[in-house]
Amino acid sequence: MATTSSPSVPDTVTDDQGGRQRRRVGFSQKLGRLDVKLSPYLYISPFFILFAIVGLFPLLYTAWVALHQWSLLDGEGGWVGLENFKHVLTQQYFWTGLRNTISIFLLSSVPQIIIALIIAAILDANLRARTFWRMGVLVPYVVAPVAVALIFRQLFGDPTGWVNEVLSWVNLGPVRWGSAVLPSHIAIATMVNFRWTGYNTLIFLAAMQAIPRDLYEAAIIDGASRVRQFFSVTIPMVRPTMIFVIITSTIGGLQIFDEPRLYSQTGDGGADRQWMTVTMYIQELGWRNQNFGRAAAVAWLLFIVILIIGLINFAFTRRISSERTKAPKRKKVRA
Amino acid sequence: MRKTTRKSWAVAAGVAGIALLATACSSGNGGGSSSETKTANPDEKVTLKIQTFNEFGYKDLYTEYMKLHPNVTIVDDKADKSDTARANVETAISTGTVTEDIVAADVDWMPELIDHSDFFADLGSIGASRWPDWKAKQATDSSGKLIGAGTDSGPEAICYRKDLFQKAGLPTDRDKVAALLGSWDEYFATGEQFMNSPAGKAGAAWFDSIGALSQGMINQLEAPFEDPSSGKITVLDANSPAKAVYDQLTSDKVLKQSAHLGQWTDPWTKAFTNDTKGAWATQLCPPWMTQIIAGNAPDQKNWDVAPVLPGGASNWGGSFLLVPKDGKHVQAATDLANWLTDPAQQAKVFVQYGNFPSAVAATTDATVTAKTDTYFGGAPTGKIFSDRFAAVAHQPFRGAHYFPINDALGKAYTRVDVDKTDNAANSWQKFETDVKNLS
Amino acid sequence: MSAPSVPAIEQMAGKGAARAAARKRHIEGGSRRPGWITYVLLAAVLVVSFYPLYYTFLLSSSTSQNIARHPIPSLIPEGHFFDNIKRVFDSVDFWGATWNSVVVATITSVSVVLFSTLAGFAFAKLRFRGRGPLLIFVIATTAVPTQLGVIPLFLVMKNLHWIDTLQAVIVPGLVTAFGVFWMTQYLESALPYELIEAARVDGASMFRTFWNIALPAARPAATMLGLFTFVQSWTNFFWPSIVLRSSHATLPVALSLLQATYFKDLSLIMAGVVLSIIPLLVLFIIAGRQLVAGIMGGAVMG
Repeated sequence: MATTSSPSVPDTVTDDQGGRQRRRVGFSQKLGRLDVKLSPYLYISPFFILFAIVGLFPLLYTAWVALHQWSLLDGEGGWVGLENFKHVLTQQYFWTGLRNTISIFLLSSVPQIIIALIIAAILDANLRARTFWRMGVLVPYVVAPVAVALIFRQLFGDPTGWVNEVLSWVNLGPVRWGSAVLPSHIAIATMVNFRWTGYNTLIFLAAMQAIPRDLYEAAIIDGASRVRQFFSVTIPMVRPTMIFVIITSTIGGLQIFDEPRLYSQTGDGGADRQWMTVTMYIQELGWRNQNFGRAAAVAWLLFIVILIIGLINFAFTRRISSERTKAPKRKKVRA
Repeated sequence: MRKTTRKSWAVAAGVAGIALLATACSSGNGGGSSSETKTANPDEKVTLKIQTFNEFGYKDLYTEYMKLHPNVTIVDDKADKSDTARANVETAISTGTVTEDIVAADVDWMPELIDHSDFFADLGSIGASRWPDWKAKQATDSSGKLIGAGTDSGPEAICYRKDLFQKAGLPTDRDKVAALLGSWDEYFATGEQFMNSPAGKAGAAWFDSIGALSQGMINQLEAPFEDPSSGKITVLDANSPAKAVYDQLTSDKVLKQSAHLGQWTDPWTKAFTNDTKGAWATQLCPPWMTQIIAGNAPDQKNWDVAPVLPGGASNWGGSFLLVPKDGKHVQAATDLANWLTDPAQQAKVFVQYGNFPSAVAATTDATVTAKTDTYFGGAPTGKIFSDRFAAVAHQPFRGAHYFPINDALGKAYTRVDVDKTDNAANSWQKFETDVKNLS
Repeated sequence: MSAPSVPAIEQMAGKGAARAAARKRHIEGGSRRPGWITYVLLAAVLVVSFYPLYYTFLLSSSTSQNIARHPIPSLIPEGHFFDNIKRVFDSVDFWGATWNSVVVATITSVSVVLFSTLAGFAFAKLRFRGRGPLLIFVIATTAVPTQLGVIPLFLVMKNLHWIDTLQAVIVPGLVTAFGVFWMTQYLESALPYELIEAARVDGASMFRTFWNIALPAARPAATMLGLFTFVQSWTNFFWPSIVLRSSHATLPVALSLLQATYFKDLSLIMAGVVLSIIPLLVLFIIAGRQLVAGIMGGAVMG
């Protein structure tokens, strides 16, 4: 998924495995082959070792649990095969959770990325007091999600919170932020956007700073307006970063938990599951109902959903990146 | 030679994580499950970790106990909410870990712990006779082993707003109010009268939400959700008493009297400061609720307490202290739990914090019965709750599914009353689905 | 166009040089200063960013009673801020929890930066069998829902005897898939092969190449990753609240105790929120200037 294809890769490094190997060995004759061969594995090993300890075991353990009747307190209660999956998939709640998750995800990610791009483009200009503005947009990011939720719960109070009070000034009736489906999703998405827009802005800004300025100069000579420059220079040039942001925010967005859980005092996603996300459903099955087997099944289903959406992203972004890169043999890390 | 050095650098960097794992391994102390000596040696240095939640009012008692027992250090591992405490305890049980020497548990999820009573030490040595039968029963497993020492209790009264009662032309005197609200039928009839009065017309409601009333009414049933002998879920049966309560509460007549504010939500908390519009006149009131009312609306001087619960005395809430059997200092922990739930200490907590005792001797203690509450118009809250406590005869049967069923039922009420997303019949159907999914 | 174009420099001297040239141009080029509309827009963005924080401060200087009465507080704070702060200090071991958070966040961010850069270097610039699939695997691991891991991870921690110790929070975060992905992405484009080859020709070992070439080149992205990780760790609540007990908890877990009363005192809770933000804000103000300058000094992920 490393989608960057730097246009400047020297020809000496090709994608051809054998050739490269030979070459590397060639110029590093004084060094041991082992260094060359083993170092990469050594360097990536911390991640894999740690994953083996704190990631892999839970993953396999849950897979095992998902195939059993398994109560949180009583433990294993016999092999049931795919029964937990079947049960969960025929339940409306899983789908309600998925609907809420995707809705909140779209309501947050899409505006967030667009707004972040625009703000970044503005910040990329030759501003006075640049550092001040740049730091300013990142400020919301330092506020913990728990605190953000507390703050926005007050703002979106139902029926007489800050937002409804302001809406009443323009004669708009109180919106039922705390009980209607879409308003609650909007309120939660607002929390997410508040915290993450600045973060994404900074990432985009960093990418924009790396765009060679003569591209803009050339565009200006061609008579392109600022808007035109944004679409024909900035956007294509930050595409790899966009892809990174989209992938990470997809994965994070589909696992959204803190914000919807803290949106209400009870933390259950609403009496009618108006804003219960899939991760909250996992929590409910496992902890409230103590059905660890079904909770594990839902967790695995969510994992699969994220992987599928991730793969779609991946296929999509690969196409974009190969379209962009005309020169062959530029791909370096491909799967 | 140089190469080796470099290589070892790389190795060092690459496996620093493992090194950290290894070194840290030896320094850990949590989760130890070795049971050392089982007698409390008065000279042995002992650290006891105790996890409570909300406010048990133990801060000063810890200091006092450590003064009395210089060898004991108490670590206060308070959790914020009952839910957090429940998750912590149940994670500990499901993974067989002992993280605390004493854990507190709420009566609503006690049944789940009773199902795993072998995880906890027998507290029989304290003596179940300290508590009334119904309280001891909530902490006793099927074999008669007492695993929890009762801390507080929640004998229910009715809190009411004198100003709103007056506006509605209702009596404001405690005993007269009590006489007015003897049964639920009388309660709702008075509510209807209230809603038609100037107070009701000005936007005041009779109670906060039907979910809140349900708590009181469910607690008056013998076996609301499950069959006491088999543990089978009965709440969906045709003649289920809980369904009868549901039908009554979701009737139009009753719904009209509601302020439609879900208990514990932010709007509910804030609404206590309302004068008439958006306020409500009566509140089901265990002693701990009086603290909440006073805390939510310190300037509101019109609340009072009537010594009555429609339909007969009952109890709402209350907690226990439990000692995990595989803890390092079971005896010392038992001693502490014994001391903390001793009538003398329970009385002190009530006087200082308002958590009402559950030990019989404490409820009749002079310092308890003498307590009055200026916030509630100088009401003799000690005496009132002491009488309400004495009148509690039994408590409903709570089986292993009590907690999730009660939670789902609460949601069913919220859908009809607060969120208004469903009518009564639809909401009950969703509740049925929830309950069926439990098995 | 008297100076050679950037692509031309790239052809001749490689990407690093091209980038330096581009940067130089950026500074010298002195593109037009944007008009006042831009500043108005930015000011609006900052108001949206800051108002919720200021609102928090307003609530923390009020009383729960007044908060309930006035949904929109006046812009002038009431005088109860220090009372509320004092009450936070009375009910929570603030300094202990802050210290724990500092320890956790510092170790985690240093470690994440180091290990992620190391792995990112390998994934971006070194050839080895299985590289592609392994990278995909790394990214795929971020798709594992964390709620799922609670019980088994708790079991792991129990067997390591780490329950209620800071290691239980630190170790799972020592290196993250996000960090590896981030650094790989960055080094792909920011680290020219020529530099690596030059170092290798000079006889530098792999690790020396990493240390002397890749690490400095990675600095801008590493700074950002460090900041992100620090904030992430500082604000982390879910797992710490499960594995740590309140007597030695991190800041968010300790502050959750402010809600451990029968009635909810918003002014007190908000005072806790303010206190939890202040340390990060201070760090941010001290380090932020350099940080932003550092980020912008180098290019990130072109």
